[in-house]
Amino acid sequence: MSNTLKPYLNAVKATLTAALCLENFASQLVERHNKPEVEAGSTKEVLLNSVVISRNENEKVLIEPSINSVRVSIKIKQADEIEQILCHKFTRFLMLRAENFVILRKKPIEGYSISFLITNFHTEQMFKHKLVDFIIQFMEEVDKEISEMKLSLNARARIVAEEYLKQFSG
Amino acid sequence: MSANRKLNVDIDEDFEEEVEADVGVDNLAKYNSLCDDVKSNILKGDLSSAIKRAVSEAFISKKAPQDIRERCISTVIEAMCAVKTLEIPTIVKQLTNDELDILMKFVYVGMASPEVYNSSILITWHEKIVNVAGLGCIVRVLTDRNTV
Amino acid sequence: MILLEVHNKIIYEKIAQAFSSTDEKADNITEQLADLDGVIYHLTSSKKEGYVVLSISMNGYSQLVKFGADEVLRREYGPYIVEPESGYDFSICLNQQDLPATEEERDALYKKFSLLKRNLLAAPFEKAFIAQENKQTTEIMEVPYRDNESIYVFALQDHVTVIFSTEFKEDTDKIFGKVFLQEFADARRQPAVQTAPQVLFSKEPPLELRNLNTLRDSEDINYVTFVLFPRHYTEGPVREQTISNIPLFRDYLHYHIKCSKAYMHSRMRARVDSFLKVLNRAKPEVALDQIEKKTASGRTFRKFK
Repeated sequence: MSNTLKPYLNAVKATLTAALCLENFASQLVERHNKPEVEAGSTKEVLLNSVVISRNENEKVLIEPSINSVRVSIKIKQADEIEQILCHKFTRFLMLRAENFVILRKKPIEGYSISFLITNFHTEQMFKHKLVDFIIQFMEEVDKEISEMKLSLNARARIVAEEYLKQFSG
Repeated sequence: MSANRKLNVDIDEDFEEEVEADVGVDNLAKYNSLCDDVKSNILKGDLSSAIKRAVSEAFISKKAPQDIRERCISTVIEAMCAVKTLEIPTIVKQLTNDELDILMKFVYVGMASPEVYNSSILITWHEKIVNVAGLGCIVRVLTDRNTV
Repeated sequence: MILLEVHNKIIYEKIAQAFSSTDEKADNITEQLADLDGVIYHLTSSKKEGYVVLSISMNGYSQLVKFGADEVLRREYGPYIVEPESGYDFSICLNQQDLPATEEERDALYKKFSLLKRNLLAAPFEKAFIAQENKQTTEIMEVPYRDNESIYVFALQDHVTVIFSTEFKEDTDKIFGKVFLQEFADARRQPAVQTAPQVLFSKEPPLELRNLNTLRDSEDINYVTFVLFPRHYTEGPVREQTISNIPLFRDYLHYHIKCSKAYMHSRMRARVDSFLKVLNRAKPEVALDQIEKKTASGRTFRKFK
């Protein structure tokens, strides 16, 4: 399975690098406003084609570029209901701290687990290649974290059950 | 007041029109012949020419009827999936930059529906195309209004 | 700490302290304490008059009395029983002059006081165990020890069945609970616990309970069945041990679900920190617009903001 992970992440990386060509762009509709156009969606000609990169049905990334902002939404693998609840808990935990993460969106796009919103102000203050690295590393580690949490839950459950029942076999 | 005055200079009102180019009867025929050609090439086992034929028409299919569009996409992706992994770079090298752009569009369209198409093969194609055509190829997919 | 303690540690320590301390300030204790399963204790003591009163209030006390809780309590606390305080179900009082002479005996007595809840819950179990030993069956004894949650105990021809109904309120609890219960059901495959009671769990009420009209119909209720065979309640320490442990099952399960959640939480915290570090690496040490740029002639200019 993991031998398909690398090419998948490479494809995401290449697409993100290509999409992150942002410039300052003031709102066309409201004087002295500057909005991420991909969120506002009111000026069609500055929105670009959105693309999806998928590894399989359960793991995909949606990249929606525009002139001054890119929205990246990730669907994290959720094989069973344990992974589902862990993923839900983890992404919620992250999104509650969206203030610290600057590029994290507080709500995911419909159908995805977590979304990022990168604007031109972020790319002006941070290195673009490192921003891309962050997203890639995030995708790598989220899967790992969730499967580790699941393992630790099962391990604890086993020990707990054994210890309790041992009391009766003495 | 003349119509000129009322024009909103900030917003390109003609923008939508650009994509609205109609699909005439000629084009419909073109799509069909494209599909047929690619199909017959796959059957012959001549995948290299199948791919070459697939990317030969710079057509706008957003406006084409849904069933025809889907038929085109599935035929082209079928051709791509038939190619052995090791042969992908050789085929990619034979194509011109413009042709690679069109091929890349198909790759992204295919990846958008992972429940229908095999994503891992498309990801391999993606990698090989980027190796040859560079990131510019992706940028052109993102920006080109004429989507597959 | 994997296993929960049976006795109430606070009561044990407080009573010991009330009688042993010479500190005048630690004189009179008046305290309300909570225990598992919504049990409330009320502890009062007076140094001057030399007594400690312990009262308990518990869900389902009246049911427990029906199953013979009175006899069990009389056996355990006979000389210490007093009129229950108002608002409580049962009270016991210990006087300074009644204290045994040796340290060990005193300690054992304090311990006995701190086991009040356990002894109260023991009645239906004892009744079922004794009935089964005499090859008799009992009716289904329901102890509604918490709101919405009950223990059902009954003796059959050759074994005693204990059924817990337990409610998982949160989504996470539901799924974690399922993982834990599955492990309980599977645990008997381990060689170390092969002689342990069989554990079954289901969302549906077990067949034996179908006819009860007190069952609550809810999605969130799980039924856990323990099948106890005579080897689990041979008279003596084994039986006492079983009576202590079985009623703690529900608390033990929920305690560990909470622990897992706390552990996940601390893990996520650590992971968030590490993600933040990666993200902060993307910020240059000197902000890009702070870097001085010079023209060819040596003039400096800054980005105008």
